[in-house]
Amino acid sequence: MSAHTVPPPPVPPDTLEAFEKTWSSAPGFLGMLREVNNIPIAQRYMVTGFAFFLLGGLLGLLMRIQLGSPENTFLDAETYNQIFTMHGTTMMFLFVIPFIEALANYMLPLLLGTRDLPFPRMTALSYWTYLFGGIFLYSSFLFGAAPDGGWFAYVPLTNVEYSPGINMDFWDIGLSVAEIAALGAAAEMIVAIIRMRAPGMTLNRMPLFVWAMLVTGVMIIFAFTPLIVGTAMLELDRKELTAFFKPEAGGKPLLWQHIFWVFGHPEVYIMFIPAAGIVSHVVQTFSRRAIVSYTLMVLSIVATGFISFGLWVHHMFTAGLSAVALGFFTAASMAIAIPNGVQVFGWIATLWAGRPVWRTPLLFVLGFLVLFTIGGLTGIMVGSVPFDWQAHDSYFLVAHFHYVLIGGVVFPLFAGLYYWLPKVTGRLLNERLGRWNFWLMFVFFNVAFFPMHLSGLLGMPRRVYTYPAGLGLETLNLISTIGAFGFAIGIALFVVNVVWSRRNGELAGSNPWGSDSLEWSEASPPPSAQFVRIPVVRSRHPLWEHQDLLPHDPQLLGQMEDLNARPAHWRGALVVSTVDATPLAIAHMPGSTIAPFTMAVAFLAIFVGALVDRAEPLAAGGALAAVALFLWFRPQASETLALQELGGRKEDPARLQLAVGGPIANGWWGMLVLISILATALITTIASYFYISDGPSGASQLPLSITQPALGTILSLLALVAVEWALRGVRKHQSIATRLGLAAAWIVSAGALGLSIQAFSGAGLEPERSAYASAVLGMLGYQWLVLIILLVTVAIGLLWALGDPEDRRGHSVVHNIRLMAAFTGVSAVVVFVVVYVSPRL
Amino acid sequence: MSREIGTGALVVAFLGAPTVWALHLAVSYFLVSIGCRTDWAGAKAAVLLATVIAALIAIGFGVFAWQRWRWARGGRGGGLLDPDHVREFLALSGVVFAALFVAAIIMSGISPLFLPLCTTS
Amino acid sequence: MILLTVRTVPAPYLARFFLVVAALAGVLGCAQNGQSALHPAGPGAERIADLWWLMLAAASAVFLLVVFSLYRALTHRGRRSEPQGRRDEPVATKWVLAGGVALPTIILTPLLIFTLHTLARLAPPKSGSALEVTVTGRQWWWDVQYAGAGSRLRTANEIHIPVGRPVRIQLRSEDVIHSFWVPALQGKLDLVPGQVNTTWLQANRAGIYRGECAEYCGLQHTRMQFRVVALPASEFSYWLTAQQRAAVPAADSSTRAGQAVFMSSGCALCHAIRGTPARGSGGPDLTHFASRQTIAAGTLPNTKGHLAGWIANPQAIKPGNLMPRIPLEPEQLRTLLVYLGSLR
Repeated sequence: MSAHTVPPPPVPPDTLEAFEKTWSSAPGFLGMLREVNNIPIAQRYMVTGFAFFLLGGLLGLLMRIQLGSPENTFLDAETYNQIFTMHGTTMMFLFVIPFIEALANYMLPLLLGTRDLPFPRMTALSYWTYLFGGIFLYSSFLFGAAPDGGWFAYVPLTNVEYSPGINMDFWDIGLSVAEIAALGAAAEMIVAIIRMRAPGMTLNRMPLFVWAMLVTGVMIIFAFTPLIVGTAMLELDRKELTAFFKPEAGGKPLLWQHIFWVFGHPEVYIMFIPAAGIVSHVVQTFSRRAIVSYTLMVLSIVATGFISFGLWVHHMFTAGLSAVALGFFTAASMAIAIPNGVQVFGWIATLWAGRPVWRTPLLFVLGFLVLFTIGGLTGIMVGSVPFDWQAHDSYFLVAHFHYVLIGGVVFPLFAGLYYWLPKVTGRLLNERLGRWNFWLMFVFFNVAFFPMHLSGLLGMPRRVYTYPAGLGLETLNLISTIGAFGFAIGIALFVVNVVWSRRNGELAGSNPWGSDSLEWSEASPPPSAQFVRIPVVRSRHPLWEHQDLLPHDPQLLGQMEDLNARPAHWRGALVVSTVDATPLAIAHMPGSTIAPFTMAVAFLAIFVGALVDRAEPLAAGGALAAVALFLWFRPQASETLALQELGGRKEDPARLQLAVGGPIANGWWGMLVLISILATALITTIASYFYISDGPSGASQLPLSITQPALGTILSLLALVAVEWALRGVRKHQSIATRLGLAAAWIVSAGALGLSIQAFSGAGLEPERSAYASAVLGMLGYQWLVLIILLVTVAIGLLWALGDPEDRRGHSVVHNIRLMAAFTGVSAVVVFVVVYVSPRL
Repeated sequence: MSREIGTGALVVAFLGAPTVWALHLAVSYFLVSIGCRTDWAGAKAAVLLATVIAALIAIGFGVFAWQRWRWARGGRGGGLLDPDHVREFLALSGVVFAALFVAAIIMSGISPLFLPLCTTS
Repeated sequence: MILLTVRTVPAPYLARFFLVVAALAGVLGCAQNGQSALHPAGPGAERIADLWWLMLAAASAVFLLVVFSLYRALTHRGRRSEPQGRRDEPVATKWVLAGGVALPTIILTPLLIFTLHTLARLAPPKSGSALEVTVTGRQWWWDVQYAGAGSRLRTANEIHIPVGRPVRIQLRSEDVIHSFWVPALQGKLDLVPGQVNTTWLQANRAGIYRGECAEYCGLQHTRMQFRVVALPASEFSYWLTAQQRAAVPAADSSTRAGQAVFMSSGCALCHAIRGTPARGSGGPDLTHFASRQTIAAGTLPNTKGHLAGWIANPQAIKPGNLMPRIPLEPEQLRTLLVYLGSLR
């Protein structure tokens, strides 16, 4: 087959015009609220995230002023405790991960060669929820009730008995913010990466930042979900509805630590892995050669992701666990050095094999390499249990985690900003300011944090608002304070640089750095459709190895014509196969809609209602959420148009069909992500149940009646049967079967829910006074939630089936319902066995 | 000779060893908890046995992946977008993972050789 | 494209920078402050310190290796001018495997074994020695009880141990999670409500060692410190015997007046003084209060002036702590101080 270099036929001007109009933002303030395209949202997201970084940094400076001299009275104890809690909470929940999500939201479609993220309304929802939630959390300062239990909120201190004010309720509820935004982002990233790449971008041709975000997305599902379960349990305890963590009721304070750190440890790798992805891109571009051993780098990222889930107990080394258990986790904490070491040496080897281009992004990467090495080495040290028994909860640890978080994450983020902001704004940042920015940050970071290694070993614990004179801590703390201010000046210089460069920066053009990946083939800033013509790649480094991004194969040529400034009247993007990236279908992307904003407002009302224990905001929020759901799931005119345009193509292999109805649709994969989240929540709940009840035998003091629950479980399984029947009706175009099947599924599921609730209330358990009863409520409550989700989805499907049973969108819904029903059935059996059968064994 | 390597086999090759490692950690921790709560004398031996079994299974996954890698390298049928390279990549990854995670399993599993099962520090 | 010379980021400068840092650290770290993990005074902290120095040496070596590799990488000459997309350098890959796989494995394997070995050696001695100390953490002070071998005594914020012998300590909590840390003698261990953790302390030589709470436990976590006093064996026995006696009876009129103030001002509701009607258990036992080093869990030295300030207004010194402010006439305060000063 000879390589065709014939350019594709030109696009008619009115098609191009219609395409650009389709992808343009709606105008005005209302248009801004209705925006769903990733580019404007990601820009807002980045600005908001950076604003929280500055706020969190300000809190850090206040802490350093207080600690600059012994027995200082700049801040009193209560204020200091609120400030250090909010400093940590801001940085960990409101800055790093949202900012990384924002950067990924912006860059992923460009790197992948597609036009948007798979769930644009989810993108908008994540952003608005995050913004409102951050404001909600910071509003606590206005009431003098900022959270004060530390960013990881150990119980019993943060339970209602020892933290009776609403401070920790702000924290607990406000965290839902971070959780929703992160899980939404995870769904987007995973589905985008596995389904929406450019043709020819096989798995082993994906850029390293893309691999990093794929691993990160999966990690978010398995890490954030336990946090959701844990924070829900804490809030129920605080409302005195349960006693999961109350020792006097048989609860286990260490359960909170396990749940939190199963989240907390992977969370820091969720931060590091994207940073490592950025570093790979910058090293590659600024040493003018491909990363040495791509395979090893990918494997390091994936291995780090896995191993990070096996380290969490190293945050609990001093809690009194058995020695052998400590041994497991100390071994795993050391093992992670291997993939990290491979990455560090991979970057160094790439620099060696290439020729460095001395620009600011490279400086930040070099700073990262030095600082992350130090942080990683102290990490090995604290990973060794005996040494951790001295270093834990001392300033040595504070030094360690700032080296890995600032050195290992913030420095790469700055490198990424100097590298990619020119793509976003169209203008390069100033090099001279950039160098001053870097050196101030690098030098003063070390001045601020290196002495802390020593003050920790000299016996200074963390989270203290002052320290006595005469212990050798004064000089070290003063040096740290000076360093903190110097570091802040460096950050300020960055802000100056960004502001200055908006007007005065050198124009970037599409590829100012001579880089290799797809984002550099588009104009700076890129159009909102990102790629007017979907590119085709034939190597790992498209712009270095084959500048033309055109299809050479005739069949591919024909298929890609449907994506050249097309579809023109509705937003469409390409769906490809996972491993080989062969084109499969065209997905419809929603346009501007007010539904996400409405839903975010509904969440805010629910947060406020939960905070103040009032029914009115909860009810208002619930009603608004129902409205938002309706707006979200009702038929869209643009999708109807898409169905008409591409509807008849199913039997023609040469033309791409519409991605709707079953596994071809992005929504089906999104449903798989949701089910993964629910499955993780189930595992967390089960583990908590057994932890509290001391294993199955511990619960035998309360034999629970088994008949009603057994019946309920059978009903759940029947619901699955009904859904399968409905799906069969869809496949055979028998709308009666579809309607009856869905209706039956709804009724039967409602019955299962009712039976389960009744069984619980009839058992006479008192969750507020018994940890075991709380654990039972936790398991059953989980199943009720799953059933409610199923009922909502079946209702939506039923509405479609009653309205227009042949509409393929309705068919999509039934496919998704089937996944949910299968999971509901399985989880019903599992919950039944755990709660009702295992105590009898 | 290039043999057909399905996506399922690649997923197994890629994820097999890490999954075994994760399960080994969970099982070991669980065995230790049970052992300490019920004063089960055999808990230490059970953990060591679990380690040996897990290491063997992980090695098995490595062998499986290595076989697939050889099959993928065997044929360069080419085709439009050269799919064999990606299969080679995924299979090779499985081999490397097996090596890494066998090491990790052994590193964890040697704890009972040094430490008493249940002293709380 | 402007090529800056590598002199802007030279490894020699970096190495010099870190040597200066290390020297400074050496100077500043010399402080013998009674709570330094770097100056261990007992076998527990010594075993940990051995591990630390070993890890510091290994980490420094690795760090210098990485910095040196980076320097060589940045100054390496002889490359093509076109961006290389396809060919992976086999040599470079070998370095990645050497540095990223072989090096960590070679260093971490013995480190892991030494870690597990040290961990085993840090296990508490078997209970069998007669003395059992129980420390109960409360917001924000340390309740200390000795039992066994015919001894029963209760004190607060201070633990006495005999030199050269290990003392097992049971750690409990009445409220939230605290952590028991005496850096000069031992690693820390948490006090978790609902469970009992066991640690041990042993000092090689007599002295006073500072301890602190190392798990954030609320408003006055900062001011929850304690002292460990190591005494030669005979002095320790003497102390043990003396502490078990009931309080010294009030000898003169001032002391008696002070005792009356104590009993009538509500102090007895929280504080116990053995040998008197005062039986309160919510606060520290004051039977031998005058023999202790500090007031309010290490917050103030135990002198008359500080004690006066503390009693006059505890909330001003340790805001939020559970001792209320009880207004006293100057004469009442004076006699109370005499009384408390008599409780040796």
